Amino acid sequence: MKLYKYSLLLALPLTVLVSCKKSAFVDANVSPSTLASVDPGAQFLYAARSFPNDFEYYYDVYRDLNAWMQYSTGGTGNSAGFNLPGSHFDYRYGNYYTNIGTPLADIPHLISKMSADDQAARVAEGAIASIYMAEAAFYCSDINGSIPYGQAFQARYGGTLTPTYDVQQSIFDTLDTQLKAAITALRSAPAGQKNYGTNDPFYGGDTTRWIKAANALRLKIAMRLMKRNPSKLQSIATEVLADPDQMSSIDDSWVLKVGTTYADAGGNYNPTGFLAAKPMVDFMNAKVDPRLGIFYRKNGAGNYVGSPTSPDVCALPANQALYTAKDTPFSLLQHRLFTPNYDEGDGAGAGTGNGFFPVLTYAEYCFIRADLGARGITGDDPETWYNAGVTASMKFYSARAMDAKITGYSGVADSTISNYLSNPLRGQFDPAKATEYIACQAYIDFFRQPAEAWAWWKRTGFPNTTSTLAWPTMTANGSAVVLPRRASFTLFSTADANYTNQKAAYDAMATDPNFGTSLSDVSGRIWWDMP
Amino acid sequence: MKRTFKPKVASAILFVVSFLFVGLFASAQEKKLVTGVVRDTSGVAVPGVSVKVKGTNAGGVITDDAGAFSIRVNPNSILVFSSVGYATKETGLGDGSNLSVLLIKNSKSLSEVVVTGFGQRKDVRKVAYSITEIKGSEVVAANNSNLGDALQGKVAGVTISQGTGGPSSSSRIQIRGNARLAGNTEPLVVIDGVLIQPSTTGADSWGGAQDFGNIIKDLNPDDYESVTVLKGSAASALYGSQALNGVLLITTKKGRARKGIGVTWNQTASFDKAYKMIDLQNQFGGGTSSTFAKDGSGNDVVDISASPYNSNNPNGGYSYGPALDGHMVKDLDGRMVPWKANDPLKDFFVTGQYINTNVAAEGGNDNGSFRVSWTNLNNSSVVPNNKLLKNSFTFRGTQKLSNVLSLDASINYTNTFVKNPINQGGGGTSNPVGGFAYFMPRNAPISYYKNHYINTANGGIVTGITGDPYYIAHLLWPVLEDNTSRNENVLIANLDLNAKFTPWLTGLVRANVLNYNDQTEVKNLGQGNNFSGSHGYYELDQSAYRNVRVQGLLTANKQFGEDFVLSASIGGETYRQLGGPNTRMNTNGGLVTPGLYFISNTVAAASITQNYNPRYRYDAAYVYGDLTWRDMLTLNFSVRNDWSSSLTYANGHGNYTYAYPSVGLAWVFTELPTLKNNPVLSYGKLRASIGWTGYSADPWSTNSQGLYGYVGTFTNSQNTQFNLNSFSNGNGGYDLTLGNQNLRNELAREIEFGAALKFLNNRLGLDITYYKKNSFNQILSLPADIESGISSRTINAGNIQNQGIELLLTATPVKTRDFTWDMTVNFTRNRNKIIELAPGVTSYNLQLAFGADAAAYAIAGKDYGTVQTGYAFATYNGKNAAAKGQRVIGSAPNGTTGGYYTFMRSQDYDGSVKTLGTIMPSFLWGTYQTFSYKNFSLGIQVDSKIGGLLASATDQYGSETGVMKNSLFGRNAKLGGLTFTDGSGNTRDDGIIPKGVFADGVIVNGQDLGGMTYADAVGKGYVTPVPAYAYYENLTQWSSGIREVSIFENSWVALRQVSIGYSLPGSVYKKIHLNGLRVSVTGRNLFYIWKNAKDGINPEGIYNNQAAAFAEGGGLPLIRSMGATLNATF
Repeated sequence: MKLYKYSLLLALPLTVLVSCKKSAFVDANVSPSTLASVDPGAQFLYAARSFPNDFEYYYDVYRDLNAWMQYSTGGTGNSAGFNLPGSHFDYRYGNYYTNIGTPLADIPHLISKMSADDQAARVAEGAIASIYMAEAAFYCSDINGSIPYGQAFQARYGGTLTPTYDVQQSIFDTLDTQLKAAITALRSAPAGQKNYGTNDPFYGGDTTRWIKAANALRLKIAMRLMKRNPSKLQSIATEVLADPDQMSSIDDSWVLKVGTTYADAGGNYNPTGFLAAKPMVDFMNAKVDPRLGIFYRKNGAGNYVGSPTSPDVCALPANQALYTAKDTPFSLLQHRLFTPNYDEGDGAGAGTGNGFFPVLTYAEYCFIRADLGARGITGDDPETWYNAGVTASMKFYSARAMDAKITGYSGVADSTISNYLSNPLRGQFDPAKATEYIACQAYIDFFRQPAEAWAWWKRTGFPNTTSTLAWPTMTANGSAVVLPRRASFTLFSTADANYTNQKAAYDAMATDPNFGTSLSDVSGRIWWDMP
Repeated sequence: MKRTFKPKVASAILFVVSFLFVGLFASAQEKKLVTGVVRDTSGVAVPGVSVKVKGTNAGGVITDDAGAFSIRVNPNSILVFSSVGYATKETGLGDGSNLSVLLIKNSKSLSEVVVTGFGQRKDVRKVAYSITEIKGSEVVAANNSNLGDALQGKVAGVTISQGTGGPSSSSRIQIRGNARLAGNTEPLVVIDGVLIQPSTTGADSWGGAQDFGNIIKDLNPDDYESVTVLKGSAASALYGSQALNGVLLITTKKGRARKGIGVTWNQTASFDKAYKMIDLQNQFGGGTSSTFAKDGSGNDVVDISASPYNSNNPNGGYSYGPALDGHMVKDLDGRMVPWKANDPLKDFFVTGQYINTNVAAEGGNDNGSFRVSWTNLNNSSVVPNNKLLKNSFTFRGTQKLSNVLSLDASINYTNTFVKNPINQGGGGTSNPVGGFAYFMPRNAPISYYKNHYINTANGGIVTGITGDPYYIAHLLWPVLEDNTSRNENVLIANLDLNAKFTPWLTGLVRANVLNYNDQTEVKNLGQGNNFSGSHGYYELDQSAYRNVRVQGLLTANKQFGEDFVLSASIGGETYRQLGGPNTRMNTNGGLVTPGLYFISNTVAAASITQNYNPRYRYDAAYVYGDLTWRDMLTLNFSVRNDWSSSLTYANGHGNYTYAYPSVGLAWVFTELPTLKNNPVLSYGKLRASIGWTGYSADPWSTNSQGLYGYVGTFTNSQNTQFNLNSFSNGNGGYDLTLGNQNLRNELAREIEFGAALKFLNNRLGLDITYYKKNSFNQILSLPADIESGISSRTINAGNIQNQGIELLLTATPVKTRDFTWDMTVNFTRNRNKIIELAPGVTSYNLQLAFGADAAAYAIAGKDYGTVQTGYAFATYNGKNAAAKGQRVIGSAPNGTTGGYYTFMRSQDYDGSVKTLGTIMPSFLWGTYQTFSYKNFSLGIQVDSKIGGLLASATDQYGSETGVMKNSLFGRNAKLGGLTFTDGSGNTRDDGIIPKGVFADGVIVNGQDLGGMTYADAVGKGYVTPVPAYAYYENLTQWSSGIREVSIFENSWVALRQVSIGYSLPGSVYKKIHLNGLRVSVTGRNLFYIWKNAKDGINPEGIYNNQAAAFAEGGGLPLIRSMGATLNATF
């Protein structure tokens, strides 16, 4: 009997082994923190907070665009080759597909899995996602030309792993239609719509503001057609302006406002090591621009001094001595406008203000309308919209500077703005140079949107060496510096699954005589950027 | 519980087991039961001894692992005990119980018993695959807290890479290359049946990190009898899904039968000394000018360019200043100091210590034994404030419960406390070695700031150009004032219940548990006034998990006729990782009351994050054994079937069951009558085997990839924090991997051939093994084009091949009565090749270096770990055909120092990446020489790695500012510098002409210099030579550096260990009532006999133990250890 007992004992683990159902294994393999689905708002919030990308700031903004657009220079000025984008330029591309487009594209799928009632209540959410998607796709295509759009983002839902590329013309057309449809959907959505609420850090789910933003975005995209298809620009502008919901104050601005630590001073958003650039500082100084102290910091002696921007000037021994001096005489970027928790070293410790990232501000909207009017595309009065744009810009930056708790900044008075606009020695409009004045003010306003400053520069040719805000002739080693106009393209390796589609798209773009001599010739142009 | 009998194999096992038990009862009872134990002359049990009744061929039995046997015989029988390697012994039955049989070794033939499989001891003659056993004493002799490091150079086929972050740091243990593309290829560790899968730890190419190490550091080698390395798949197939990376099988010590209680005391005191830094230059101090400016009092003043705080300018910290001559100068902080180079070895590093105390007591008789042991380790490193304290308690007891049942129980509890592992990785700039080279001029007074980093007036850190001009305080503060510590508690307990049902049939029920928890605390002192400020920080992390394993085995050992001996087992097990939570809480924005460390002391809202250590379960059933014919030919076989939870899906489907077979043949051909007793060839064995092992998917991955989860937080402008829920990797990270609904297990097939030969009476031996292992069905996340909305997709694919040769040469060149010289030489050549990845995929990123500037890849058709970088020297391919193939000079996209032209990176020039070679070594060899003379012994170990690339961030970023010897050339006329006039009109003598040609499109004064050499352009007056400080900085700095410069072949020959031992004669120790006394002195990591790592970079400094790790960042100086051990037996 003893043996029998022992054998039972021994058989026990074997019995355990053979007696377990597969379900026990399945139960062990499910993580308690995995969600089978999420609310569309969760995906919207992720996409929204991904609008800025820290690597894009580190490389594209601080090290390329800000220098090309002469908002700032490096710590020793600009050196020869500063006009090369380098292999890190164009973070917007990956950011669009990875962090913005993919979660946004999931929203219609999340909604489609809901009950009919729930689906009916998500029309507005779907439309808002569609507006943001249009912005993101536009921003990506703006310097990349042909990109996958119609077939993009489908792998997760059984769609293609190798999306074809759409040409920019069709993307712009598609986006305009998409925005128009979104506006219609927002207006005609049945009652009882769900609302993103706090999942929408742009507008808190405010439908009317989203309609205004969509209208402004339609204008912004259409402006790119100024040379390619002026009649289309005119018809879109006319249609948009007939809509009752238009941006009308800085509160309508499409901006991502973030908390203190979002653009952390310890990370890639930190603009340390960059100097104010001379053309901006000189112009703003001369015009007594109230935004000067928002954009830049005073040097040790209490003045605003900009660094030269032309490499050959920067390289002059006298200037090199200034760069390497123990206390540089040049003004720095206003750190807290970029990273509110920057420690200014004044003993007060880290800042406690908030950060912001403009998408499409009311000021920009005003300058678009001013430019449309000045060019006779619409009946808008250029001066009115110029003044509105400058006012909006000053008020917007002032509000943001207050919110960012820039040390010593106390706001802008209305009288300061009106003095600025009424004084011919300051910022008063000159109808004879309407488009130039509008573009130069837009340029100042784009201090936190250097990518848009770049686009305006391409479209309008301002600023230039003779404009009211004048850029110097830039030379490096005696030769003229040529600024880039587009991203540099690199073909996938032939082993890449989507090589064929990409190559076809690039080949097609290269048939444009202005495309440049090679994929990497950034002095070339993409479709909308006609000479 | 409702029972469904699903797995057919398992039900078959149950059937067989039942059948066997029925058979038991049927067996006759009239014969006498005789039991006993067979031991050799040193008291070690001998397994596998044939026990027969004299005059009969049938009915014999084999001794088990513990040397025990029981046999039913007629009362007047004579028993014959025979085993190869021992003289045959005959004995009567006596009273028939507990016979103690002593076998004497037959010196003419070889016998060696190794631990294999599930811990069985087996005559090596019967083993059909290569196996290496290391004695526990050899592991202990390395005086190292890390078991992995202690194995370095000792085992052919095993590559050990030491950890670099201090005593807690985990080493990389690679057995026969990498059979997986995943990061973790650490072998499974099995301690007395408890399964432990070591994790990978350490830093990466981005930020610096402290390496607290994996669970290996919590193990206690003082308790080990032996460590067996199961290298091939046939050897490890029994561990199935756990065994793809090989197995370290550890057997702990048992109490031995003896009179009274035996007590041993081992005391080791060893000291670590940093003996060599990277190759710093000691000729020039800070600055960029060879002369000093003078202040109003006529003092020489250190130039501002010596300081990295050059206002807003990121550059500075240059060491191109005046020659260091010792005269008094005015430093940047205003102090008058001698103008001399610092010496980090003296100024900063300290003597590390390894004080290990082990006390063990053991006792036992034929019915039971026990051993208790306590080990205390106090281990500090050469970096101040870094230490490891370990206390380990072990009990192992065996007890015979009846004639049938016996128990073998062990329990080990270890507490390990680790404080401040040395920061590694990232750019290596926050690590002492990297930090002392990065932007820190040679005159920087480390020793002064080591004692003056605190602002004595205001509290907090000294700062700014006059407070901390060389950034030393900011480098040292994290070492000296930030305290990160971890407490780990590990409980390992195992209970074996052995049953001897009949003389030939034994059973085993084994149950064990591994219970782990740790607690990590980070206490950072604020750097602001009165120690306030956002640097003040407290963090509390806790993690726990528990693993359980229950195993049942039935083993038959039976002799069939004259010629056959069969040993066969059948069994099954279930293994459960029960998981557990891990939590992290931390303060934000600083501490309200500086210096007090608790979460509620936070300035901003505290953060809490929580995750789970995943759950996992597998069940397995197996049959294995061996059949031997005439002591000559042995067939090994095993089949294991696994059922794994991690390949199931939430909706119930999944290919979750699969089998791993193995079969092998060992032929001791010297048993052939014609070869027996051959005077030259004493022993010869040929082996051949084939086996399959595998890997199941990562737990939970099949049910989380492609789904949603927590991916972080967003704080809006009301400073309200929201959770972000989006596409998740299941662990808090945003991830766009698309899962796979049809995953299968990874499967490796390994073929192995080998021969073991002994010559001249075993004085000379050679063991050679060839193997070829192909791993299929890698579970990979293959990159997808992000435009499709996924970044990667999980698939089963690939064929990774490891093919190699292992050689072990053993010899006893001299053997006299008093003097013996033994030697072993091992050699390993492994070729780790990627045969294919997935259709349409040719490259898979394994590991990054320098951020993402360089990487090791798996590339179809190439070696595992092929290093590629776009930050390599560009090769000219432009309009000037004559210049083709030369290095290209041009502008850098992110600027160059001084605006000078420099070497272009290939990716900036033409978008190309360059292949530099493989991270895998070409071959390894090592030798151990032992000399013993009377009571003295001398052991010398040399080991060597030849080939394999190392990427050194220390070398790259440390070379920027003229700190290293590699920047001496060209810095003045005497050192080869060219004289020229710079743009400011100053005449300089530090010109260097880069060797290369200009890129097309580099236009100077209207002239396109494309294709022209820099030298020609200088000759024609287009450009000047480049001043040395700019030349070197542009070559290696962040914005323009060429990473290829710091990726180099890393080979070495190390004098790993020398130890001298002396066993005191009995006349001495008996006087002090001891049973034995031995003293030994050991030197470890003494020096490199030869190495080719650049610029004095530590060749053994990779910053993590992942499979493809090939980069160091910071590293450590070269460190050697010297120590003494006293070993007393009471």
